[in-house]
Amino acid sequence: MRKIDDILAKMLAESGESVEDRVPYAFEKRVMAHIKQNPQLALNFWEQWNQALWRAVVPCFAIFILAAVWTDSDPINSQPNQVAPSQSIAQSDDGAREDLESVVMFVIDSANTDR
Amino acid sequence: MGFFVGFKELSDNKSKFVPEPNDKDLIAEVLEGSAESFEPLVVKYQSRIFALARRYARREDEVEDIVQTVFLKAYSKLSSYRGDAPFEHWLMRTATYTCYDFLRKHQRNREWNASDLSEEENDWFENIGEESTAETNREAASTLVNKLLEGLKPEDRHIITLLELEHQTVKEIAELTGLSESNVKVKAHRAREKMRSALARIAPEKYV
Repeated sequence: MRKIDDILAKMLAESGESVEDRVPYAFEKRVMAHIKQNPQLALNFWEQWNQALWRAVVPCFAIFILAAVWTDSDPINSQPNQVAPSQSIAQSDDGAREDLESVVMFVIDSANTDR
Repeated sequence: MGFFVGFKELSDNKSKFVPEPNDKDLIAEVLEGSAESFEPLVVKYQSRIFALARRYARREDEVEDIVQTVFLKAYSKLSSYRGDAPFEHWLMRTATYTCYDFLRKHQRNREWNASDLSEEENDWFENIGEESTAETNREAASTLVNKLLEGLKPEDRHIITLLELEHQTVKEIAELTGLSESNVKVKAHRAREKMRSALARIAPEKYV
């Protein structure tokens, strides 16, 4: 009768010697087929992000040029009699002052008429 | 005249000799966008990865899935390989992680009994006193060890596989698993205890 320890040691030793390293036929072709479906895999995330940014440069620049040309040639923006924004703010300030005066004067007037 | 003939033969042989590209050159080519350069790396290391995967999975389709996953992972993370260690070490590390992932997802936790042994496995016990180098004996020992390992937790099985079957050092296993060296030793000791009790259950009575 052998001790369990001896049996286990022998079993592990023989199993460790057994190396089943056979490879199925054309296994590398199968791996390469998967890789060729997505060849960009080898690049890491930041490299892919970098590439995407560089690819976006040309369309973004084209959109910028088109927007600039369109803004220049826009008939509404190019009308000479259109009120400038700073002018319209000044006008609105004057209007508010007039409104305030009329409200205050209305209260004083109505108080005088009551007497 | 003989000198010129010899020189011609030498120059012919030189023209036929094409040096095999080394791993670093192939990796650089892959990273430059040549996916085909990865194929020689697969051919070179696939048998090593298959041998490792067969320690973790029994069914051949599972083994092939593991090996394929290892190479796809290696390809996708190739830019993270810094080249300060041999590529084989880096690849085997990826393979070890993939095998452990497989264990965690497919752990069977089956307990075997003496009645479950095949004829070859019973023969292994019969011939236990003999020094045999027969391949069938080694295969029987491997299937028996697999049966014992199936009763272990994934982490314990991983440690025993690396320590006893892949002959890695405690230090290497500690680095791979992220455990301390003493923790690896304790887990390996406990795993061996469990294997002993499992072996006592499956071994024919006259041997235990």
